[in-house]
Amino acid sequence: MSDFFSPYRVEVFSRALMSVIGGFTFSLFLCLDLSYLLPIETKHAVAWSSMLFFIVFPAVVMWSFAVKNYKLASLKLILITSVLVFMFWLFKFQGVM
Amino acid sequence: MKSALRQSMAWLHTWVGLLLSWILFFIFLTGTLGYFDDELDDWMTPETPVFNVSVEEAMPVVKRFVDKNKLDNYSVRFPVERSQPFLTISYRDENNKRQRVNLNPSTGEALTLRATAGGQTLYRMHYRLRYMPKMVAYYIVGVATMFMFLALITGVVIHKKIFKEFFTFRKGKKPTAWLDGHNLMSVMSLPFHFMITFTGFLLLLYSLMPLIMNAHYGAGKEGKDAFYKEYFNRTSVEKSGVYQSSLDIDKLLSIGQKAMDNKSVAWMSLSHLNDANSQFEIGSVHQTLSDSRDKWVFDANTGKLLDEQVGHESSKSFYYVLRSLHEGLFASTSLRWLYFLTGLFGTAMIASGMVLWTVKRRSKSIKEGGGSFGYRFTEGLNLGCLLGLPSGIAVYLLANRLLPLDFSARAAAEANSLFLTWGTISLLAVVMALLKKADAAWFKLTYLAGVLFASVPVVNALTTNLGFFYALISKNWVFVFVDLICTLVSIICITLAIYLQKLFSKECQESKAVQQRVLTRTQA
Repeated sequence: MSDFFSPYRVEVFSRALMSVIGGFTFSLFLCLDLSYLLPIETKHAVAWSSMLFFIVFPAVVMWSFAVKNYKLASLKLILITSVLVFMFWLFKFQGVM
Repeated sequence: MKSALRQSMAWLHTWVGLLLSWILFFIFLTGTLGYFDDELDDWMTPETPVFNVSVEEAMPVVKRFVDKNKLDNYSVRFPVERSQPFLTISYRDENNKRQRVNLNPSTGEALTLRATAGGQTLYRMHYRLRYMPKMVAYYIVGVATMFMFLALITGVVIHKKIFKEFFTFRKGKKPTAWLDGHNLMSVMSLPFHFMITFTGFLLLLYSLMPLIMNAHYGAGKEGKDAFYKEYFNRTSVEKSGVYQSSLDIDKLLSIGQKAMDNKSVAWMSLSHLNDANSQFEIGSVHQTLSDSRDKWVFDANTGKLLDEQVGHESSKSFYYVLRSLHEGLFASTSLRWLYFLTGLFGTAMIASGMVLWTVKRRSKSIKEGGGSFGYRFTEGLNLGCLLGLPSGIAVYLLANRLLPLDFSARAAAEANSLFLTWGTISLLAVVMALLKKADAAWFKLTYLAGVLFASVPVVNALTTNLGFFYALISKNWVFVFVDLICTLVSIICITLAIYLQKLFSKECQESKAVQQRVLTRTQA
């Protein structure tokens, strides 16, 4: 069992989790915010940001596996994502913009 | 994790590459064949000729059919382009059920095609898969596409000296030869791989990422409909129930052609004949990258132009150009071959990557007396997939010729035969690999694939009157090329099988010799 929970495996698992769940949430809210911020028609803003999602997401996944200190990196990711979620809440439910 | 960026990316490349390589191989191979979907349709319905008749010549047939069946809602596709070999009329019958007929555009005679899954099913499989709900298939394909995209980007990051390595081919040394081959396949058509993968997302864009759309337009089907209506300019109208006489169809067609400015007509449709909301639409042939889905909408009672959708603005032009690039509907025959070829390079890239994974671990596993369970299982799956799917496609073609014509579930049986073959071969391969007989499985299954492909032209010649020489004389190029390609694949498979058999027996003797030497030394 000790082999199963080796530090290497724990790290790979954490990074995978960070890239998939963290990366997805981050990319989603980044693109969502962008769809409100873009100064163009709503339908085009939706289309551009939906397409952008598929570029941002793989970039974040690669970053999650490349970054040296993954614990610090995941903390950063959570913080930035929280800000993005807050911004989304402002845009969508408070009518800012 | 490894410290350097390139090392960590090499790790990521290996694992995202391997994990979904089986499904990616399937997507790439069936998608590549999909560039010739209409040609395969033609091949799989050998009893019907392909028509190419102008709109004017076909119109009398259309009018006769519409009058005879008293149609109020119908659309017509004219046999003027590659994807449209017959005159096809789609309509709603008395019970409001959708119907579709294929007609001979000169005589109006209804064409009865043999029930076949055709090239369309093979092409549709590459994103729709089979035996599962649509959305499940889309998500699986979406995840696989994301893995592919990651494998591509990380692959480029690994190879800092990508152009130098592109010209490196170290023949003979096994793992490096496979590596160089893998690089060659990848780099040679790298732009294509990036294009096809990214545009793959776009084709399923709002199915894979509906959330941004939902945030603005509301959740569920209503939100989607609202967005689609606004974004894609859906022009459908409801029937009003108020009588108003519509213009004659010939008149509408000529109004339409005038508005189209001499572009050639591919299709037209009429909705709610003799109703206040009656509408006439007409669309042009898909000829260039950017003119996809151009259409003109008219009031069918007055002939007034209601909407003109020519070219696209902002995100839509980007979206449609990339979409057209993926589908390649605009491509001429020579460009279509290039699509096919680069698609095959992509398939070969995935295949060589899969082989590379096992080859790299091979000498270690031989020393350890066969390798771990994981190694053997992966090798079995690799070879089951690499040889099972092509064999399945050969059987798919054979099934079209061999299944009885009056068998009702014929189309489904053809598709089942593909997956049954693939599944059986995969199972066989995994079992043999687990029993440490992977080497024998490699060359025996390659022989099998070769034999299956060789039998396609033979069976075709026996069951149709379009055998190779007859097709050649009558210049039926689709049949000629299907025969040629099957023969070529068969020759490649059998040569490969002979090569592998020699290679493995040599390797086997060498390792026995080494064991013998070790044995004699210990005895001495």
